[in-house]
Amino acid sequence: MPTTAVHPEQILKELANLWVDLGKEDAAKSSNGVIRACSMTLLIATAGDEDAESASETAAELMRQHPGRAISLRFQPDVIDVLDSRVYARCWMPYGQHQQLCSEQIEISASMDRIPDVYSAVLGLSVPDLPVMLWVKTASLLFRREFDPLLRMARTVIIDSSQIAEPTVALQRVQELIASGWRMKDLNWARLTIWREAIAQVFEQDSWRELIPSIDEVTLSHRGSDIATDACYMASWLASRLPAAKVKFVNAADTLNEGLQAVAISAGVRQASVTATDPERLTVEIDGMYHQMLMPPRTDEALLHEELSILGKDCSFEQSLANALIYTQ
Amino acid sequence: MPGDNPFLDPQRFERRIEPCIIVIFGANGDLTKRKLVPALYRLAYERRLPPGFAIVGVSRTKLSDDDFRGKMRESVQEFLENSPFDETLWQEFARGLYYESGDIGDAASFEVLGKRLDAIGTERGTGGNVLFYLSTQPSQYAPAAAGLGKAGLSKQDKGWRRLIIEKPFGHDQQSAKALEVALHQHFEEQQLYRIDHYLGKETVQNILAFRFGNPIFEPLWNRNYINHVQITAAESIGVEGRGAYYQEAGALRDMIQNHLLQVMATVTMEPSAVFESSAVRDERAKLLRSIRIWKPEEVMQNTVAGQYGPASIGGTSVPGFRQEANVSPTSMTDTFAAATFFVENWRWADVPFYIRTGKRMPKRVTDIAIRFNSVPHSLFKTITDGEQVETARPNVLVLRIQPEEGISLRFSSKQPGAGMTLRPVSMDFNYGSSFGVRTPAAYETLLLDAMLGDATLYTRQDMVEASWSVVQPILNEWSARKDDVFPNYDAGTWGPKTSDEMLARRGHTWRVP
Ligand SMILES: NC(=O)c1ccc[n+]([C@@H]2O[C@H](COP(=O)([O-])OP(=O)(O)OC[C@H]3O[C@@H](n4cnc5c(N)ncnc54)[C@H](OP(=O)(O)O)[C@@H]3O)[C@@H](O)[C@H]2O)c1
Repeated sequence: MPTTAVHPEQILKELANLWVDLGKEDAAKSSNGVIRACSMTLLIATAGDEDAESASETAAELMRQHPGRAISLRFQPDVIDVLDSRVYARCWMPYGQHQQLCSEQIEISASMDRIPDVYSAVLGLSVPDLPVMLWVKTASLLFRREFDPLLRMARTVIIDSSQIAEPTVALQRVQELIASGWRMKDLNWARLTIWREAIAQVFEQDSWRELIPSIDEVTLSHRGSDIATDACYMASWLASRLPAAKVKFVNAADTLNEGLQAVAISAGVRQASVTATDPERLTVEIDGMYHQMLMPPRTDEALLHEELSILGKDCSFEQSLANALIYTQ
Repeated sequence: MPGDNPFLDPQRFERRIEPCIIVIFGANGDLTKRKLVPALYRLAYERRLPPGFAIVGVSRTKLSDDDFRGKMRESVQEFLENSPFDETLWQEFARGLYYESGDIGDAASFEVLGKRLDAIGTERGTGGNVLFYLSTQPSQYAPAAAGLGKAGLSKQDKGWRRLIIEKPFGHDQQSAKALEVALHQHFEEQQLYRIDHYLGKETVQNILAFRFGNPIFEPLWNRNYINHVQITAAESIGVEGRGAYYQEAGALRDMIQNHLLQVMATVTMEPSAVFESSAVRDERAKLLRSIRIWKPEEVMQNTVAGQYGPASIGGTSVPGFRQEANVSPTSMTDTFAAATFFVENWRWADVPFYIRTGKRMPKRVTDIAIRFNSVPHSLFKTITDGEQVETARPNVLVLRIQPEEGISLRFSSKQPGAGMTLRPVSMDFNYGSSFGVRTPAAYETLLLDAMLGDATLYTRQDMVEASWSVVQPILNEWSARKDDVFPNYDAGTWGPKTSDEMLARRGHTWRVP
């Protein structure tokens, strides 16, 4: 039966009972007990069942590397006066270990009109002394006024700008939030890491670093007719490091990868490029020599893991974001 | 010289290695196949190796490049841990694998090798950077260094040249010195990388993070609060086919002289001002030089040698050391060694450090237990056999290095129910399960560091000398003794009784890890 209120203390008590039960269950199986690990509170905001289900799966997977309390906020935009909660734990046995590792999840379902109540409940539910992260899985929530109070719960907000149809709108909103003091993270920036790493590799050679002032052209091939946020970030990142380069965008004929397809850098006769040769591989060409790089997995979980591993300010991202807007069209 | 690479993002991806060649001497051997090439393949998988990276294997056996590639492919498939084998990646990795047959004792081999390196360097664009790895018997170290030097291969005029050697660094103090002289004839100290694979272990590095990243422990980390420290490195296996080698070495040389004294130094050294190779190594070296050197008459009171005899472990009978293959039936080699050490400085004066290591112990475990002082005044007593006994037990902090890396703290808690009886409980941090990610194998970390030119985790000549100064007097007394009767402990036990007696003299007992 749905309740119309959520009581943090009740939820915490349920969680405590859950741990006692897990401990007993485990003792009955005569293994070595469960470990309760915690490094953060992760709030996950979704609207719609599909996002909610996949986000909850992702959070469970993520807990292996970033154990903590996950609070899943499932908003139901089309109804009113709904507020409900449940708690559960996810446990697994890490490979080669004898102890189960468990992490707790709290799920709160609410209609948008109950956001103030969700806010006050979550205040009592976040783990003391540890960081609170907010992953806005359904990016459209960021553009709803009613959602604003929830942003106040976290200092770090994670979004995926590739979900927002209009890159200009997406980049503007991220810039606005940074200007208001939030630490923003964009999964679409994390998708570029392997590309940036490949490009950095080109410039590990002294002869390519010497060429930096004379690199006059960079060509970015991307998928689709619009220049998505990842291509804008890449252009901005490259332009700030290659003072004489003109950045050109071309629409890739064959697309093997989501988003970016290739980056080509030229300085007169010297050429280097990074190309997605299949969905799992990049080929780096430096002066006619080829080298393959395996693409790491691009699941939400892998991208979130990367973002959550950076605890302080992400200077490269913020710098690239600052000038990314000029490339949107 | 162009400046730093502006495209690096240390928050996301690590510094890249400059294109280079690794030359492995002893490429036909066990270490190459089990550890080195799988570690290098794994680094390629992690995208840590530069394009153009090449490996040249050198051994006496005649093999073609393709034979060598085939052999290494089998090894990688067999010994690669925790990662899949990727065919396309292998193809590319294998293109950078070469083989050159040659004998370390033959000067002409180095001339041929030099030409081969020039050709491969041009083909792969490695710019003269070469890392030589001596994965051969220690007797080959000096001839290999001389061969390289005489052929001009240690000169750094085109790119860098580095030389990695594996322990043991000498068989005793004198041979360690002789090895140093031989190496320094052709290589500068900065070009030498002496592997102590213990220092490459993630958890040994974590000791530094734990000590110097958490200010709550540092005020307690001294003689005022710490009663004594026990370091245990136990193996459940015997000598496993390495009988001939082990017979020459023994537990004291094989484990304490290098690994365990380094671990002890990591636990006890002062913080360096910066986390940089020479600063960290200076502190480690300083600590090693502060260990009290036993006088001949003190050795037997403070050290114990042991050798296992045959026993039945859980219904399976296992041979004693003297019954193992390639071991003399009258061997006097120590398969167990324990020692008490003191560090002579303000922080550690009078705190005993007990170190023990052995083969055929009840289980495989390496840990460091820091035993804090007892409560200064008893409050929580219970009556046992008519006597009042304090129930608060001293705190013990255990830094576990293997197999389940982690940290646990034992403290006292009230037993539930009536009365005020305390019982010890343990607060446990498990490195592997708190971070579900794979930790790199020691050889991956160490090879990567050598290619990057970072020697923080490598041993330096002054450390080698300092630890030989500590160990040599013990070896001298042990070799002089006639009356000792080996075997003196059964396989599957925690060592000889004399080891317990050594601690009992100072009122302590070994914990059971
Ligand atoms: N194995 C381990 O797990 C391990 C662990 C820690 C440290 N270590 C140390 O690592 C080093 C290598 O160990 P390992 O077990 O690989 O030794 P190994 O199996 O004996 O291999 C050494 C290889 O060197 C080659 N070799 C011998 N004499 C040579 C010469 N004159 N010129 C050129 N090549 C020669 C041999 O191949 P050819 O017959 O084809 O010449 C042999 O296969 C040793 O110092 C050992 O103490 C080994």
